[in-house]
Amino acid sequence: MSSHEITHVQKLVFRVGQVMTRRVITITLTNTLLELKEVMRQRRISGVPVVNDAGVLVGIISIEDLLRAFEQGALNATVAERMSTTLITVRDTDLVDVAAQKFQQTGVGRMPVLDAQDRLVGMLTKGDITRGLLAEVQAETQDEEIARFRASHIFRDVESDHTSLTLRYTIPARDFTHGGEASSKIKRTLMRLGTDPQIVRRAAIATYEAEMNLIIHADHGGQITAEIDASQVTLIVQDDGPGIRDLKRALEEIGYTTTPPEIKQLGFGGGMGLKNIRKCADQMKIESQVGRGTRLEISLRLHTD
Amino acid sequence: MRLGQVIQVLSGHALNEFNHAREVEYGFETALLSDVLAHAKPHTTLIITEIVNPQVIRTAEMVDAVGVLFVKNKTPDAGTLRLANEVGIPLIVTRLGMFETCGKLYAAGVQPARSSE
Repeated sequence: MSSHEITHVQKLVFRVGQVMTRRVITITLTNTLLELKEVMRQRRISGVPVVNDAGVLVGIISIEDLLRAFEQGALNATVAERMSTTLITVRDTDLVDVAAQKFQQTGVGRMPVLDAQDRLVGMLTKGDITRGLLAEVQAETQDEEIARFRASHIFRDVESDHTSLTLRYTIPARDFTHGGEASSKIKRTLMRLGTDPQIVRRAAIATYEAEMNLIIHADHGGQITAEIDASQVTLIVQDDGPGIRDLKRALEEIGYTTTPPEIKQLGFGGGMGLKNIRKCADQMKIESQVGRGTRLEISLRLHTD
Repeated sequence: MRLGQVIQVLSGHALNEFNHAREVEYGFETALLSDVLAHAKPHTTLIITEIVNPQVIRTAEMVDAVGVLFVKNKTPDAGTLRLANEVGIPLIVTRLGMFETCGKLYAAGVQPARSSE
């Protein structure tokens, strides 16, 4: 399963109310089994909830109960005599996985759905769950699929000697709230272009480290430019200061950091950023001058072959 | 184990809606996000931390983590929750401390996530 698919599955959270059948056909205690048989035949259903005069759920009767009565020649019996009063129900607000577990544990084929006031609001079968999930997966996937389809053909459809996409982002200094947005967008774009998830992940991590460096260290923030063509992504991250005083140590020495203590509390500044960027990238170039700024350029090949 | 079982084992609760059946193979306990970015394994890693800022969510997003577990009842603010929902990161909170949390998860079969270099 690719990371892209996982993201979709992760979002699929369902309540029983979203997938249940809402138009519930009920039968009353005094109806006969012959009448029940007609309801089941006409509506093509195999189980019917039983309600009393006040409309409150009191039992459930299924095609199995009907068959048993038929074998015994008791089709004139009332629903009240033949129904099952052991009620296994779910709430409309229950998660679908809870309902699925209940189906498995109890072996029942259908469950009446009750709302918070114990009113009968629907019926749920395993089929409802499957249909609901499929419909939702389709709806969820469709927009992203269209975006992906459009994007992934761009390098084939656009004719030039060398086609590339340039994405530019301005990163404000000290903006911890939005830090990571540019990396997130670059990650999503690479996925839409159909890039291997492992490569997307490396590019995302490197970009995010660089983005956080701009936010933590750069006096005025900086710019991230991602240039993507059919074979590679090149990221250029630059700022106008303060510059890295000891580039060699920042690149080589584990734990070397100039991150202020208040930012360390946020979870950054282990002296690992540049080293991690180098680990993720296929190529990396960095130039820095104190008082002038830093320019980092990394590239990753988009195909493993 | 599953995210739902993590919640049970730690007597915790979910902070947002997610698929409780998602598989957790690795746990990564940390106070340093760069450490996660450098060493986490993708997809089935649960990040366990006291850090509750938006960067935890971003970090989880970048490394394709299965979710974030907050210890000591640390709960992120509304903006951070919103971000988690936007990018689809499951969030769980437990009142247990880091030591007990990791002990219980390890005993339940969750493996250390630091990939060997």
